[in-house]
Order: sequence, then structure tokens, then C-alpha cells
Amino acid sequence: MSLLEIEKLEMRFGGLIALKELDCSVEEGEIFTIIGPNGAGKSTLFNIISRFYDPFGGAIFYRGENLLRRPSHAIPRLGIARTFQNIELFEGATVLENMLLGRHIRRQTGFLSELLFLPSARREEEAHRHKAEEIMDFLKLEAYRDQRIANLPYGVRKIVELGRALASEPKLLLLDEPSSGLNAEETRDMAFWIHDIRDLLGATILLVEHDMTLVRAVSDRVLALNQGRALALGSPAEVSADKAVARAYLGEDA
Amino acid sequence: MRALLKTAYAQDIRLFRYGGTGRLVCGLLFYAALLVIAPRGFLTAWGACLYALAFGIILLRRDSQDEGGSAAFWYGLLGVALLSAPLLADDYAVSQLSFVLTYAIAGIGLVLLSGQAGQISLGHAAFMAAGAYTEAILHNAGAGLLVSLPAACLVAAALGVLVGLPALRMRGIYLALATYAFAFIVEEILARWETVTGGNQGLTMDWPRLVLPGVSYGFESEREFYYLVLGVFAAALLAALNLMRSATGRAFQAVRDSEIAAKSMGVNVAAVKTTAFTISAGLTGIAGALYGHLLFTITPEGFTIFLSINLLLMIVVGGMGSLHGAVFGAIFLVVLPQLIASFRDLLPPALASQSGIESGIFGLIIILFVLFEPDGIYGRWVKIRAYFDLFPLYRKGSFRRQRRTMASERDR
Repeated sequence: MSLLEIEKLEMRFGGLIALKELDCSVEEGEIFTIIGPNGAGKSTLFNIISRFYDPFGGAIFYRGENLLRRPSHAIPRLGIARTFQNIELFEGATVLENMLLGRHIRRQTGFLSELLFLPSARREEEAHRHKAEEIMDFLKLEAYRDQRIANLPYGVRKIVELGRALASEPKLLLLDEPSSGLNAEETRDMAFWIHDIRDLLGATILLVEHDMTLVRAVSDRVLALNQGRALALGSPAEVSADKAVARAYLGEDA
Repeated sequence: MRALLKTAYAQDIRLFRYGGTGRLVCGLLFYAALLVIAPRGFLTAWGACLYALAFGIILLRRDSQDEGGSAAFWYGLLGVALLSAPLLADDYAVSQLSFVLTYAIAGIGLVLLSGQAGQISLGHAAFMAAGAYTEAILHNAGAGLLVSLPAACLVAAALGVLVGLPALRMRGIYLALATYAFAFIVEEILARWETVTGGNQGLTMDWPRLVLPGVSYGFESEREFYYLVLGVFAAALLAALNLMRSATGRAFQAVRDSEIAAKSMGVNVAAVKTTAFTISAGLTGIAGALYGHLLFTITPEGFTIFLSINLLLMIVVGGMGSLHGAVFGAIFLVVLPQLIASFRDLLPPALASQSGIESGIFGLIIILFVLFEPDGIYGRWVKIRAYFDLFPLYRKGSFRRQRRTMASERDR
């Protein structure tokens, strides 16, 4: 059984078809990349998995369980974490607090023990902080630890968002254009991290990406989408050699 | 300027980052015990001052090396001053202090709701009214404080759940209007439901009684009641601080900053908003109950939109980014009308006899704060401290990029 199975997924916005009978499956432990020109339906797919959108038809199974039956705030609890194309961080909070919010689903104590700050609440807070420090250490974010997001440059925010997703200890990590807005060096770091996240933290990664260097460097399999339809699926080399993919990106004559 | 190094991650969740909480609590408890057991006349004003001095020296000596001990020290001194106030000040000043603390309790509730969770409310007068009327009805029926105060809290909190419902779908100005409408309905009910609320005549109540199995203690004066208010305030402050340093407080912040991101981190936004309204209303209800005892007579006129606006003004002026703001705002709210009253004599008679002059000045002050110091008195205080801490290095722009905490207009 695949980790994530998408069956005949269909999504429309008014008359616009965002996804048309999309079928694909992501295996446990792989790095699966979705590419495609703007408007191909990549982010739409992510937003359906996060349950921000309700699809018109089809189903998504995560470990055999239909995701569409769950509300959006229950998705992270299943072990699915994500980042956003246009960074959605908690701007008024510090880097550390953002990491801790990533651990929100790991919270064990109840409201009453927090109100009284019982020893159990204190122990749990300390454990969460310990984990948050590990993540910040992993992503080299210690220097920004107590800074508010509003004061950080774009590249750092991108990595903080990755860290926040990692803090929830996900089994499946959805990364929406992790390299957008990063310079060449930061993009290379990102490639290393993506590999490390899979190899060291054991997460399966579903990636949406435009930067083909990064795609080639990290992906096990690539799915090319155009106007909501799957064009090609295979290794990065196979997909970049595909005629239909080249046509979608470059036009009919290519 | 001193450099402080972090030595443990747990520092961030301590009440005083560099320690001293234990000594502070022991010292204050010891002092409070002294006040209780000392025979009348023994602990005069001078006795209290002497004790405070000794207490300070012990703490200072232990902690002169580090910043944190000194923070605990100053709060300790403040605690001693608050405990000694009824020995040093006259009845009027003590009752004003009680009002400050009562408003501050409501302010804590409002800071949690508006500052921390980003939800605006123009209906907090209704929660205060709910608390005050519940307290009055139960008190007049002979219930003790240990029954009536939790009941006041619960009734207000239940109303808070009700008001929290529209908050699930509305934000910003629409939420303000919905809460305002709710407050108006409550005010109308209080005026019309004469059999229970006494209509426009209102209800009267005297000092509360503390009834425990086998023991019964009646508060008899302003001074005794002040200690009750002080205790409730301390408990409310501690509870709010605990919430803010744990997952619940962070979830509030998450909902304020980005609902989309909050959902994607597994925060149940609807539940968090409802919790925020419930806690805020509960605290305001407790404040309302104490407020009722301070006023003796409660009428619907005491809980109009003006009280809601005053409560909101309190945290805007005090600074809603921090619980300090609630206290600063409460002091402001109590002191300002008296300042205005004393300045009234200096104005030309034609102006001084205008009835709306107080509201006018209040409004002007809100506008000035929103324009020039959106972080409130506490924000200004932080800046002044930073100026002296960093002395030759402070620049005008040092705080420029600091975020404004009022985020209810943001749509996600």
C-alpha cells in the first residue's frame, strides 16, 4: 500500500479546471516532485491535501484512510506537515515560538494543568523546547532563535517555515516551492536538507518545485502536470526528456 | 548595560527568567502572615516600612549580581507595598486601589482576547454585568463568596461561549459590531427583567461573606475587601501568565497571526477562538462581581457601551502586547477622571460646565495613543528602559520594525 494515494481527483474553480481525474501515488520514503507551468494545479493539490479546498470528485487515501473525511486541523495529527508557497509564518512570534507551534499537535497536557502550570505542564514545555532546539540546530537557525519573524529576511523565513513543519515530526512533508526566493547557495543547502530530512528524519517528501536543478538533485520520481492533467511520470531524466512536457513549457513548436 | 547569557532552555518558561520566584513568594507569604497574626497597632506604617527594607536587603544581597534577581526584587517590593497599602493610605485611596485592581482583572481578560488572540470585543461591559448581577443575586440569597464568585465567573464564561460563536465567522469591525449588539441586548434584559434584576432600580449588595464548612467570615470594610481583590488579582495574573507560557497561549497567538498557518499546524481555530472568549469573559465576570461589591448599587446604567469602551481604552492606552498593559491601563482609567476633575477648576467656566468634557478628553487620548504610541504606556516604558540600558547606542529606529499587536483587521 502506498503512503499517499490520489484517485481521480477533480477540482474546478468556476469554469476553470484545476485538476482533472488526477491519479498518482507516493511511496513511503521517496522524494516525489510535482512540476508544471503556472496554473497547472500543483498548489491546488496541496491545498486539497491540507483540506483547505473541497474537491469536486475523487479521493485521497493516506495509509488507507480517506483524508477528505477530516477537517483541516486534523491533518497534521495524522503526520502530514506542509510549507506554503508564500510563507505563512506567525509574524508576531519569535522563531522559537514558531517552532513550538509546530509542536502543537504533540501537546499532551490539558487546559487545567496549563492554567496552574503543574509539574506535568512544565515537563512537557521543557521537552517541546528541547525538540525545538534540535530542529533549530539541524537547520542552523540558532542565531535567529529569539527574533521575531517580522524582522527576518526572506531566505531565513523560508527555512523557519521548513523548521516549523519539521517540529511536528511529520511522516509526510509537503513542500510548496522551497527554493522560491532563495539564492543559489541557499538552494543548494535546501537540497542537502531535503535529503537529510528523508534519510535522517525518515519523512516522505512531496515537493512542488520550479527549479529544475533542485528537482534533478533530490527527486526519486517526478510528475509533470499541465492544466490539471498528468503529462508524464518517471525519473527526473525521463520527465525532462518527455516531448509533451517540453511542449507544455515551451509551446507547440518546441 | 549588562550582558546576560542563557544557561538553560527552561529559563524562558520561568516567571522570572533568572530566578527568584521562590524567594519572592516566600517573602510575600511571610509578610502576609505577619499582617494577619500581628496584634493591631503593632504593625504600624513604620513597622511595615522597616520590614519592607529588611526584605529588600535580603533579596538584594542575594541577587546583586544578576538582572533577574533584581526583577524579582522589584516585584517583591511592589507586592509589599500593595500588601501594606491599607496600613498606610486612607479609606478613599484604598477603595481607588481596589478599583484599579478590579479593572486590571478585566483588563487581563481583554489582553488575552484582543492582544493575544487578536479578537476585538465591544461587549465586555455585558460580561462585567453578568458577573456583577450573578454575584448580587447569589449574595443577597445568602450564598458565600466561594459559591457566588465561581458562579459569577461561570455565568459570564457561558455568555462568552455564546459571543464566541459569531467570532468564528466574523472579524474586525463586524465582530466589534456583533459584540456591541450583544452588550446592548444584555443591557436591555437587565433593565426589563425586573423580577430578577430590579429593573432600572438595580440591586444593592454589601460586603461579601466567606463561608467555609464550620467557619464564616464577613468582610467588613474597604480595607478588608481590598485584600480579597488583591488576592483574586494575583491569582488571575498568575493564571494568565501560565496560559501565555504554554500551548494554549501560543495557539491564541497563532490564530491572531495567521489562521491558515494555524490550521496547517493542527490548531483548531474555532475551538481556540471560543476558548479565548470564554476565558476572557470568565475573568471579566469575576471582575464584575468585585466591581459590584465596590459600587454597592448596580444598575443597568453602570454597564453601558461606555464601560465597554472604557475597558477597551484601558488596554489600548496601557498596551495590549503585555499583561503589564492591563495594569497600566487600569491605573490610567482610575486616575484620569480625577485629574480631569481637578483641572476643571482651572478651565474657563464656560468650558468647565460642559458635560461631555471627560468623554472628549478620553477620546482625544485614545486617538493620540493610536497615532503615536500603539504599544501603549507599557510600550513607552519598555522604550524608556531600553534607552537607559543601551545608553549611547539607542536610536530612534530601534523599535521601528516591532510589530503592532492589534491584528484583528488582518484577514488571516
